[in-house]
Amino acid sequence: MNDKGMSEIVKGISRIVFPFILLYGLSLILYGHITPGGGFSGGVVITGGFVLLLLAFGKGYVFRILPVNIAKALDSAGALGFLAIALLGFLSSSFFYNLLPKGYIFHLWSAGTIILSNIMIGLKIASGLFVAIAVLSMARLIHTKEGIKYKQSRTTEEEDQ
Amino acid sequence: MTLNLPLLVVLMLLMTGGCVISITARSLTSSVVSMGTAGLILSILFLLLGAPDIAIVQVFVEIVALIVLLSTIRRETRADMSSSGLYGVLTLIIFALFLFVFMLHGSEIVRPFGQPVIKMGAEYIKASPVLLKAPNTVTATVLDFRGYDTLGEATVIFTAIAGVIVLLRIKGRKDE
Repeated sequence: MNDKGMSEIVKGISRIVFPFILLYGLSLILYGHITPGGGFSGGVVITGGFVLLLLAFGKGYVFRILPVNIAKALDSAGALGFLAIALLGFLSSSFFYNLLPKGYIFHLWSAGTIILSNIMIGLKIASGLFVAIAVLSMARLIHTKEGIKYKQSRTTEEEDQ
Repeated sequence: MTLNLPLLVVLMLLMTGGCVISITARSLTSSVVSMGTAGLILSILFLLLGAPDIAIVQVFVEIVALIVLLSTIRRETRADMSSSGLYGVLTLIIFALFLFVFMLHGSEIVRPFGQPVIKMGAEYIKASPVLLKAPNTVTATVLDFRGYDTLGEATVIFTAIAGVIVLLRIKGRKDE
């Protein structure tokens, strides 16, 4: 048991609340075409959950769950996936043409490509914002005798040295 | 939908107060906190005006931005803000007066509420439940009718995050 991060109460609450935040984000993304929400809102909510973990447990814990390099790859995958959905329209007629079957109104699998676009945008926003927050949290300016130096630390242990 | 006008006015005044305090506050921490107040009141306003999609985004973006700003202040800065003085306040008042007169003139040529110049929006509202089977018109517009715009936004966010990664990189960096 490491004693990095905040107190045990904050850690316990964050551990309980984090899955629910993730679930809320996923439901916002998946039901984006039926209820208020969508890819952007859901992605931001998921990032909020990871930021909560980052604050409560410290950097090392979060980067073990979601490494920054994987998050960078997911960010690019989301952007390329959205572009691929847009290009899929060329199979039928034009760019961004919604060629999948529309289904029935108020069903989860309806509205053609909108649900796929929502998933891609959510993936992109969640991982992209997480990368931005993670990189910002790793950055440190160290004041030395020669002047100010820049440094990145991936874990809280490195920082203490 | 009926609008509760007094509540809206009170919330808007509170939001404006938060903005003014965040500009004029002496310490950076109180400035950031009052900015967060203004943002959270803005999300309540969005909810009352019938835009829950934006309200969710506003709440979470505001919280994340607040965390980033507060941690930046705690770690990197020592100096407090200096007051802008009488000259700055005078400039602000003159600018506000000009803006008020300009908007007063502009409000005379604005079309009445619910009668926009571009009639495309009505078609979107009609088509989204029938053609797309999507009850949420906002998402249908953003991801289908106006897909190009969303692709552009995604590119902007992608570029911004790439910029953050490049600016804060550690490899290939030369210390002066």
